[in-house]
Amino acid sequence: MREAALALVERALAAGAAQAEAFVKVGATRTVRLEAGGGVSWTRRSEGGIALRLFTPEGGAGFAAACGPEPAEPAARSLVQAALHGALPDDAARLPLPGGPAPDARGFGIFDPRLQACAPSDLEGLLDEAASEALRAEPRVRRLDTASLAASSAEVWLANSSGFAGTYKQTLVHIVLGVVAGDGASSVVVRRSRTARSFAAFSPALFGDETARLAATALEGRAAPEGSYPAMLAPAAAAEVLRRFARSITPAWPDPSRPAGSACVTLIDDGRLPGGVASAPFDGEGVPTRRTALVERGAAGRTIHDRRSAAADGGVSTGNASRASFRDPPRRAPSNLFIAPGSAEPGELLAEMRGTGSGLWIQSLRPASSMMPGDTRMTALATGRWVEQGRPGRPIAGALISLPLEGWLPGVRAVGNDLAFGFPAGSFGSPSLLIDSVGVRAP
Amino acid sequence: MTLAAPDPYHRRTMIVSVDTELLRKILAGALPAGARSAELFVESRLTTLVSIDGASGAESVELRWETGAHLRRFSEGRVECFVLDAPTPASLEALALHPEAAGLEWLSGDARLGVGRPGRAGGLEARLPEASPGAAGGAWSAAGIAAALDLARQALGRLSSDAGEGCRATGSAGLQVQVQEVLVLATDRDPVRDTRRFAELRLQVELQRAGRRAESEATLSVPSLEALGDSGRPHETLAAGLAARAARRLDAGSTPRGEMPVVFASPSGGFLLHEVCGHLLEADHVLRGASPFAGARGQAVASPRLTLADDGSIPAMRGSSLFDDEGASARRTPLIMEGTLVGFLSDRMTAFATDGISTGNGRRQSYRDAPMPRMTNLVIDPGSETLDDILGRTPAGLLVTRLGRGRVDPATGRFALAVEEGYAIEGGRAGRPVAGAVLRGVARELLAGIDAVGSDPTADAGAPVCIKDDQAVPFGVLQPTLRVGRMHVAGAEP
Repeated sequence: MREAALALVERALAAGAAQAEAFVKVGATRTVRLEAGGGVSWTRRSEGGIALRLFTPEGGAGFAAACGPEPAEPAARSLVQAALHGALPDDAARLPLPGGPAPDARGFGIFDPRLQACAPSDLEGLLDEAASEALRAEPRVRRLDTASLAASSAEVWLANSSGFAGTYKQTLVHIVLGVVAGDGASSVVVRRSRTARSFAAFSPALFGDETARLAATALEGRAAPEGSYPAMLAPAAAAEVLRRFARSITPAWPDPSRPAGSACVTLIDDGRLPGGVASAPFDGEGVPTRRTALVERGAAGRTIHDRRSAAADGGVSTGNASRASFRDPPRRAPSNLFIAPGSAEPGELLAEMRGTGSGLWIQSLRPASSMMPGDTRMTALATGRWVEQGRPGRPIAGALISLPLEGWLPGVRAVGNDLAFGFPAGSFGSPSLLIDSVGVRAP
Repeated sequence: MTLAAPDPYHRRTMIVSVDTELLRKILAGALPAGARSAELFVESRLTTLVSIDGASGAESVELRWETGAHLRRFSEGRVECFVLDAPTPASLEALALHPEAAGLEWLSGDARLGVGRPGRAGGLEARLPEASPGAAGGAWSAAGIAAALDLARQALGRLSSDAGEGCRATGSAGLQVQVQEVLVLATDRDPVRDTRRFAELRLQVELQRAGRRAESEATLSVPSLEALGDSGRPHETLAAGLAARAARRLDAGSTPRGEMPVVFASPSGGFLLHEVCGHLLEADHVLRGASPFAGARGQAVASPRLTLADDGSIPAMRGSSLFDDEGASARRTPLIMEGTLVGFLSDRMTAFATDGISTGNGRRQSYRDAPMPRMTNLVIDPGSETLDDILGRTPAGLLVTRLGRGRVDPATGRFALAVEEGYAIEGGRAGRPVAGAVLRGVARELLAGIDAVGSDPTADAGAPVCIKDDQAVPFGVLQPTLRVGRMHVAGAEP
């Protein structure tokens, strides 16, 4: 693959490009899925492709991608021609591509040999463990709605005209479990998913147990009264808010002229987090990844950049160019984004709500489509418990909550010590958070 | 497999050159013990994606050439699937013969352990020419890319020029041109092939005037890039219409609230009915008991005025194709006849919910995905009244001419949808524009509440996309004006 990438770079230079980079990704994914009719489907995907990004002497950038990691002569010629034809002015075109030796890929904890070598029966066993536990843990869970487990392994190569040639391997496991719970009068469907780099990072039985308990809460739950309430977000719910918030992290955020969060908030982007779902030794442009504090104890820290946004801002890339697949050009995006944990137990955060009357303990959030284009609030359906005087009370379910994203970090009053990742995209993490106010209305 | 794609406008057909009979024999010969049948889906797809951000002036072009194959083997209670990128004659043969091994030669290390090299099936290689992506160069030519960019720029320019006096307009444009060729061959039925193509224009605009702000978006789907450049200049018409609609939203007053009649002008209600009928009548939802229509076949579930079908065979509609992604012929599938539930949408895996025969609704986003039951085009049979007749019988209420975003809970059928363009009905006529209305209800109550059906079915010219289990596929709508006698109209969310 290294040779294929280097050959494509050479071909682009020979065709008149001033700089070029080739990205190759190959891999395999094995998926076990329990079907609606009661059967089992088993899928093995072999995936691979190559992408070329080139920069012209006139300051343009062009991108083209094709399936197949080792393009034959006509395909390689086509890729180069297409990328040249589509080249448009780009701020980063005149910046030199990163050179030098590629960062060492060891020690990131992103490759699990056991996961790569697993057999279909291993996956069926793990999925069965999760599903069986969900059905056993809660008698009102009547049947499965959906259940799938995917294990993938991939190898990445990146080479460019500055002499950079790097590679790393990664693995990923993704489980989805949906259950139907009913009590005769009504029924609910609850779906959860979890993503990790290795089998060791999650327990199927615990995942099944948590899914069943959430389904029971959703079944018993009733809508919360409309209004505004203080709330404690469990890690899964807080990470979901963070995922939505990440879309609004522009190169201009955080603004150093004003506080970005309350004094208890430290927001970290860490592309080198051990075992992180978005960890890698270098980003989609070959820039070494790093840890960047966007918010430090409430104060604005540094922003994250890829080469393009760095060029526009007069800064340097922070290694935040992400490629969703080989089909996609690198784009500025967070890597592993998380709120640093505090020291309080989650129970202590709940107790802090004692003086505020009623509140919500939001255990799970299911994002809902916002009704208005350009809406900067997060809209989601919440499941959890009503809180009275700092004590958890009756279950709530289907509460439509609305959270203004601009003000949510300044509105964090306390941070728990239970940082967790993996819900559901995997690269967003948070401990429990106590926040000033969420809006609730009937769905 | 040979790709021969063409000129900037994708006028010529890409050619998938495969000896289907030979490949089918190899597939059948390689069926493991206990397997009933096998099916091979082969796809090649060329995509040109042009984006312009009007605020920053940034323009980008992305070009993708994707080819792949998806093999499924069916046994009792078990389906095995094998997906392969960039099939060559050798790897396609390997996939048919030894799917467990195909494609793994790209990987190094432990993943290759135990993988043998496939043997050769005599004659196949000779008949399958080497994949020739060089032939794809035409579709990615400078002229083709420049034409797409020009069209997007023209649309964006029209958006700004038509924004109106005193308005500041910020827009963005995305133009996607795609040609997809599929081949489906199976051991138990005849092979089929189909070429599907479209050009989609997506525009967004934000208007600001005197401290007020309105955002709006519009889409247009046509069969090819060439059709956008026609003398009618539909891309500019779309931009002008979007600018005018956003300007009306700036001027719109508050919406009436409460229970009232709601008239959905043709074809504005199609998206809502797709959500509450399309998804809830999919056989996989029904079989899981995750639809309120499970067990309701033969029962009255809607107003007797409503006859609704799925029809993927209507020429030139957005969800149409010759065959679905499992090779079943496109057809009309009656779902609700004069208010009675008569059918569901199925694929091969769920066909036992529809008398053992797939209704031709097995659709997938790409070769990487497994097919599942999905709607193609939602079609509602016309009634006898004009829009004016229906409005004339409605002293007060809400006229909806465009729905916006929303959500539907498939388990309960409960929905909430924003009205992007609507008018208060006053004295039997469409009156002042209103903004911020949200329609709330439950699927069965909505269907039962339809009390008027217009004589004016029109197809939605936009580019609606249906998303299910993270797979996006296009669908179409052919809907006459509808009136629901009583719906809950709420204001915007807090």
